[in-house]
Amino acid sequence: MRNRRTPSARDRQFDRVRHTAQGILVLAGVAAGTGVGLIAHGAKAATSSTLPSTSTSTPSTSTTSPTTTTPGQVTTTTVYIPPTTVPVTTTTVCYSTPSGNVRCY
Amino acid sequence: MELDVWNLSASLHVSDRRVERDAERIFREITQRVSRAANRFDETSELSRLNVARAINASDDFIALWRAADRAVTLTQGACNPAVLPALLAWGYDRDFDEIDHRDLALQPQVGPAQWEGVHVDEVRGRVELDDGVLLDLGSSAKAWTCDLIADTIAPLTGVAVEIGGDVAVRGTSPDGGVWAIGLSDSLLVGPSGPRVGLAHGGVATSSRKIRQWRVNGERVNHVIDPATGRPVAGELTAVTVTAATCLEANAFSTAALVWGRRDSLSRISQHGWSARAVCEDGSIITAGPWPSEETAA
Repeated sequence: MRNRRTPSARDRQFDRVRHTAQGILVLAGVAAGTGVGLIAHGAKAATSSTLPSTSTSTPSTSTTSPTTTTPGQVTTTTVYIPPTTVPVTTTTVCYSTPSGNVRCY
Repeated sequence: MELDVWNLSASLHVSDRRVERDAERIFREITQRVSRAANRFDETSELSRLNVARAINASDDFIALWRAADRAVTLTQGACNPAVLPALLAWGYDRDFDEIDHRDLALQPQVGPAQWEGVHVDEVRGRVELDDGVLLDLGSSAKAWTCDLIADTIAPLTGVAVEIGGDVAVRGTSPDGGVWAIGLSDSLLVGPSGPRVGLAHGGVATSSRKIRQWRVNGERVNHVIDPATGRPVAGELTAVTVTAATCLEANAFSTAALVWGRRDSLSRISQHGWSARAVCEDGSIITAGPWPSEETAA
């Protein structure tokens, strides 16, 4: 046997539904606002350095070759490869000197 | 190919000649951007405006260059320091070097420690302010950092070696598929019989106190300033070459080594994992880290 609800009981039920819906909307709004804020914050931080910094390598590790993980996605592991001797037949490409205008003789 | 930038000689070498023009375009674009941000000899650059106005709203490029300089300062515990400019000016290097070369200046320099902590940077707002008396010259770290940036930008296209004013960054393989052969010199005069090393990736830089010398009140001085005292460096080491994972780090440690001196420099460079070759006052050579035996070209 079903209970019959009075009009005032229906009104209270509608109020509960309305309040619940409003609560969900408010929470959704807060979440969306937070998300937008985070994105905006991230975008602001990202614009603070357009030229990529190349100075983040950590010493004493070892290879420098980029490692391809998936097509189009390259992760670079910065590594240090110590200097070596070169075959005497190899052409010198450039010189490390004190700062200035290098002159050849 | 041979280039020139900031009144310095420069060169750019790529393994794949087909992308040489693209590589040159990248080189010129990046050096122009760095110049607009940090060329001390261009009065319209951000750095020049900062040194005069004491505060600027800086570009992202300037902030990136400041970060590179700050890293050099941090790595070397202040020995490689862009805030030595007031001391350098006080010792008479306030004009083109040709005007003081071989001269004996009558000066009474009032100098003190470099004040890197007097540089205040708000990275988010892009605001840079200087305390009274602080002047910046980002040239040294900017040059090395520019080599790294150009090399990193070109590297996806081809193997590359970039050299600006004696600082070198290499990435990828050389045209013959091996390492890049880099000549070394503690002067600006280079020849085929000098020492050289092979470098697969990273940077190499050389600092010397034997070039850019002049006299003040009869005393021989040079352009490498000890940030702790504000005086030109002296000591047993005359030139130091460092190789590291980046040109920025090689540059920072080669300058710092002259400041630290023989006793401390090579051990500190080794502790960071890098390699070095130092020339002493008596002409002897000492090395640090896994530096190869001397090899010269045929």
